[in-house]
Amino acid sequence: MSAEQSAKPIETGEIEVQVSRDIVSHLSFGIYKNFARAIRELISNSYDARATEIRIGLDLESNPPRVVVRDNGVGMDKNDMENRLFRLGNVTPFTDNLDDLGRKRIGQFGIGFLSTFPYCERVVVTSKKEKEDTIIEVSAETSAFFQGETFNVTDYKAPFSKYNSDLPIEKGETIVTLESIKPHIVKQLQRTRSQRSKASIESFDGYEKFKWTIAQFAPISFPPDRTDLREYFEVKGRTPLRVWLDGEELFRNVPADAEILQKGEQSFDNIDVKYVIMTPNKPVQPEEARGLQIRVCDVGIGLPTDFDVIKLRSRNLGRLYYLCGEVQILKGIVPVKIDRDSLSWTESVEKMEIFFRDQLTKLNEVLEKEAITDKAVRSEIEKLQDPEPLLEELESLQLIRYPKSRLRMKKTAKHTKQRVQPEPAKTLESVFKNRGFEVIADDDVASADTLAIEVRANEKQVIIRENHPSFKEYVTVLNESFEVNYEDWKATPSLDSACKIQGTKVTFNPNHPVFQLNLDVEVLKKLIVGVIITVDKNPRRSELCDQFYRLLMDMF
Amino acid sequence: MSNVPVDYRSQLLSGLWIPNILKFSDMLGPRTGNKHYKVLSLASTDNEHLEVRNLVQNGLVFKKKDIHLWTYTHLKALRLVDSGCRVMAPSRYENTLTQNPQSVEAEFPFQIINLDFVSQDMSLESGRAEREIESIEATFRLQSENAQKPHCGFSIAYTTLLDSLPINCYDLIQRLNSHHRDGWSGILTKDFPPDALPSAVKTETIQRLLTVMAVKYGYHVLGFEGLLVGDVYSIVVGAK
Repeated sequence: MSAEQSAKPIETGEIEVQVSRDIVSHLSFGIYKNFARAIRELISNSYDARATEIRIGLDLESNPPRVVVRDNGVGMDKNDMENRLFRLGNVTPFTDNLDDLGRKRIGQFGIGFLSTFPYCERVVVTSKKEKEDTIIEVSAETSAFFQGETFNVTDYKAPFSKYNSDLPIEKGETIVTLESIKPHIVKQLQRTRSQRSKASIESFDGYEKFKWTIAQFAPISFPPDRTDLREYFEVKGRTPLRVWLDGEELFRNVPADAEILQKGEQSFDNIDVKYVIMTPNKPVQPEEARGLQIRVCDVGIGLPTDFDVIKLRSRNLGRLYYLCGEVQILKGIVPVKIDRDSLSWTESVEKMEIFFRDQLTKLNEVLEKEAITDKAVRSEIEKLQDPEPLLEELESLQLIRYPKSRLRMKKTAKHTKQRVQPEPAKTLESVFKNRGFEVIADDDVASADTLAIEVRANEKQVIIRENHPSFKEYVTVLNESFEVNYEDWKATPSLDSACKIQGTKVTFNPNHPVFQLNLDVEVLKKLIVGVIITVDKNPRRSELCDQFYRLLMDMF
Repeated sequence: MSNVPVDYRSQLLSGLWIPNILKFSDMLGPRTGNKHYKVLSLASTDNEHLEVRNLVQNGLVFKKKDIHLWTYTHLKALRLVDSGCRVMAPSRYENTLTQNPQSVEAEFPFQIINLDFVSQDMSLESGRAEREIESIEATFRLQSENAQKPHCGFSIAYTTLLDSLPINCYDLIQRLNSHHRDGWSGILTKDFPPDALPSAVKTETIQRLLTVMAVKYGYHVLGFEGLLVGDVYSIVVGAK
């Protein structure tokens, strides 16, 4: 170490570590399940120390590997270290009061700092209190704090040194260095995946998983391009917190293209919440982001939850994994479990859970209906000539929400009753109207040169040319193509009265009983036309038509 | 009192460093995605990392871990960890390179070297500029001795304060010549003023010394350009 590096301290000594065994005795090092959540605790400490900026650095290639968390909070002097930081398990009652940055205190149990100890061999805290001109540096050997898998602190005195500060006197700063990060943590953070999938954070690279977890929990802002969420959740007078990881600023995780389905405020006895439920119109990825993220004091509590809606409602909610969002507890004392991964039960919490189960169930149904509607629209448009550009345009305007791959359109939905006489224009008209567009029906004769459906995005209008050749229906049987029409007439128990063929035109009677059969409508039409063509010249035509009718009725 | 404009670094970045580093890097050969440029930069005390951002934005650096930030105290080094760059913190650059270069030898060579001494909490005492220039001589030496075959080139930017003290060329050249190199006959002191004081003389002296040092260690000078911002003088030399 050079002379400059080891600047002489102006004071040295020891700080006594005090432990409240009531709290700490319940801990094991497994209580904080992963390293990212331990860093979450350091972020919470910095937040409570009125930091507006926190910078995290992973220095894993150095020897020894270390992690550094630096903030611009008020800082600590020796007194603060003794009476706050190193009084482990010192409970601070939760309060709704705001500090001068418009924030509520996050920490309660006095063990956040301790949560980092299982992951390194030494913790060094370097701090300069604002308005003071000295820096204090305290180091603690973490092995003194637990034996085996349990925390068991006896007497421990942490050595400290004081130095003259190199910072302006008005500034505060605290740097927590976790030295000699445990090898298994280094390995986790440096893990790379050969196939980078986004399905789950377990398939992320170790660094990306760490970054995602921090961004999920930390009380940071939404991304800059989500002004809707920023403005909705903005709390006037609250100074935001910014967090950087290795020089990159972190923002709250929000799935790309997630649109807001529902937002609002609710009260459950003494608890006030503000929430938003969103969907990216496809399964939310990674899967850990599915559900609603509960936040207390803006810090994520556990991972997003679906409030056990499937388990408790015993229903198949096929679009549940399309939903994500946030529930922010604005006011009220909400009991958080000591690991800060879940809320403790109270009646108010249960009422809140019931409410959100209901909302998730309702929105699942809305998405299911939208999927069915999208399917119908796609089916109609795919019958047009060159449907792809129109489909792309409709998708870009959100007139079709789901990509085809999400609609299972290849298999016939046998449980759905099909209409004999499709009315594509009417189907499209109602969908487009529901999605906020004015529909103009054009009955004029339309040639193939014109567009069957014309979208005027700026005016939010859609013109549907009902008489366009693309909307005409054809059926091809035995290499002959027939234009399809529909007409009602009196039905008899014979295929004859289900269909009339004149030249290249076929007219179906949609109210004929044969069309009530449990058989694919398109197949049935071809079958009927095929039979009539085949028996047309047969002297027993009428008898054969009757027999085929009875055969179909018996079989289906 | 020396005039150091508050925004001198951004002026130097846009007016001198980046354009010349880009020019010299094009002359050194095409850069591809897997050709890492290793950078050494003296970390400024304001921790703004302006040059780091600019290097990344201009495509001169692909990974932040290819940037080595040099600082000289333990605390300053801690503050640099979250930059995402590698941190070197033995002691002040000019002291390490002139007194204990072997401690950092293994890190060399670099493709871009930014020695902005003005950003380093300067102590304006006699001999400062001479130590800086002597450390640049050591830099060229370490670059040359650790260069991979074939001899790779680099850009070096040296930024200093033109204060009221003269550069003692006589003593400086004696020290530079004391670092022997086979086939090198040394710098002739008669070719330089004994004390370089007016700014124009200082800048010319610096230019000539840097180019001579490059040649001493077997480099061909691709070019150089200087810029004065207030009393801050900066020069970029390309060498291969």
